Amino acid sequence: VFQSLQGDIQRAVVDQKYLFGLALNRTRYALPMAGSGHKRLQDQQVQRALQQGNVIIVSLLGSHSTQVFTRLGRMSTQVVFRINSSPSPILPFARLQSFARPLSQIFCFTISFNLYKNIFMERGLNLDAAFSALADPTRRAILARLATGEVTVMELAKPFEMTQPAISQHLKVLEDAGLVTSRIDGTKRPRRLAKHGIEAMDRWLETLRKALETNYERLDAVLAGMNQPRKKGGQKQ
Amino acid sequence: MSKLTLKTEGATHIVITRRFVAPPAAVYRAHTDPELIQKWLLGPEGWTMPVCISETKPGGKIRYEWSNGKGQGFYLTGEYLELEPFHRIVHVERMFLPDPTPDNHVETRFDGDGSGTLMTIRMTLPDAETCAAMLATGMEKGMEASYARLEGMI
Repeated sequence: VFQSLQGDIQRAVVDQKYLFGLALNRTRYALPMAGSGHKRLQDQQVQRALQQGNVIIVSLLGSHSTQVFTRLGRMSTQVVFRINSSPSPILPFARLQSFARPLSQIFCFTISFNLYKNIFMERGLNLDAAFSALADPTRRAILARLATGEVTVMELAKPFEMTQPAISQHLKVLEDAGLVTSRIDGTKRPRRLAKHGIEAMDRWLETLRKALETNYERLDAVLAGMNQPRKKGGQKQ
Repeated sequence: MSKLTLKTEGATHIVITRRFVAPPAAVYRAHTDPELIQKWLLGPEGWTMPVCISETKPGGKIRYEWSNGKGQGFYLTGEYLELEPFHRIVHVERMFLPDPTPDNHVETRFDGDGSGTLMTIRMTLPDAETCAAMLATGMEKGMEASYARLEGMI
């Protein structure tokens, strides 16, 4: 799955011990890093690189390097991958566990291949923006209305007892988040749900559900064991 | 089909439900008894919870520490606020990754459902942004530990 990425990584490995940096923008900017993982990263150097491209950083969870990126992440647009694995130059990507993308603070993300695809192969969807867009009841209601089909702004404004500019503002947030799209029809711009964006969110939530479910399946086994106190040797997953 | 549901409620709540084929008392115990918690709240294969503190009384401490046995680990701390045995737990928790995440206020209910249990976890985050981040991140307890499980899906 990560084969295509690995090609990039091999070109962009900058710190074989603890850090990988690569850019996923068209210029494939490889992030220069100082020395091996134990040495301090030069904040300015990293920041310069971040300004130049969409950089992915891979570093060990809790390492100094991660902390540097965490700090810098607050002011930049990079995506930080955290890994938790052996320092082999290839293995870490196979064992990629989470990534963080900064808003005002750093957030850890679970990553799945689906998500990886959402973010890097089907650009244009911003999950943070999408979830933030959903944090407003009017916008959720607009989405619910759009779920029934294409609607013009005027038609949308009616049931909400809101002015058209107010509705347009909400629509803009939803459009920026990749959840709503529009087309031009004469003087009208009817809106509809952006299937791609909605599906991407749905896939992401499904990923979360699956991750949670892992623990609960284990709990099922524990509960079954509590019912029948006889001890089971070597529980199989 | 997954038995688990994960939904948002308003801007700052996340609600998770899951059914179990065991009575509420058993599910409640599995969420409060350290020895039982250590058996399941683990995330991926290979991860263990060497430290599990669960002082089941109001004000009691919660501390879960996870380790992969290779020097990697992280932990969660929290406090119990209310405990209604076999029916309801209210606590706050935060993950250290290593920086602490914003406090997550969690109400867990265990309702009888036939011969089984319907568990409902209702999380309250301090603000919409944190909640959106939480959803986008899945920092629910044990989730972080479940990351490696995703490797299998990758």
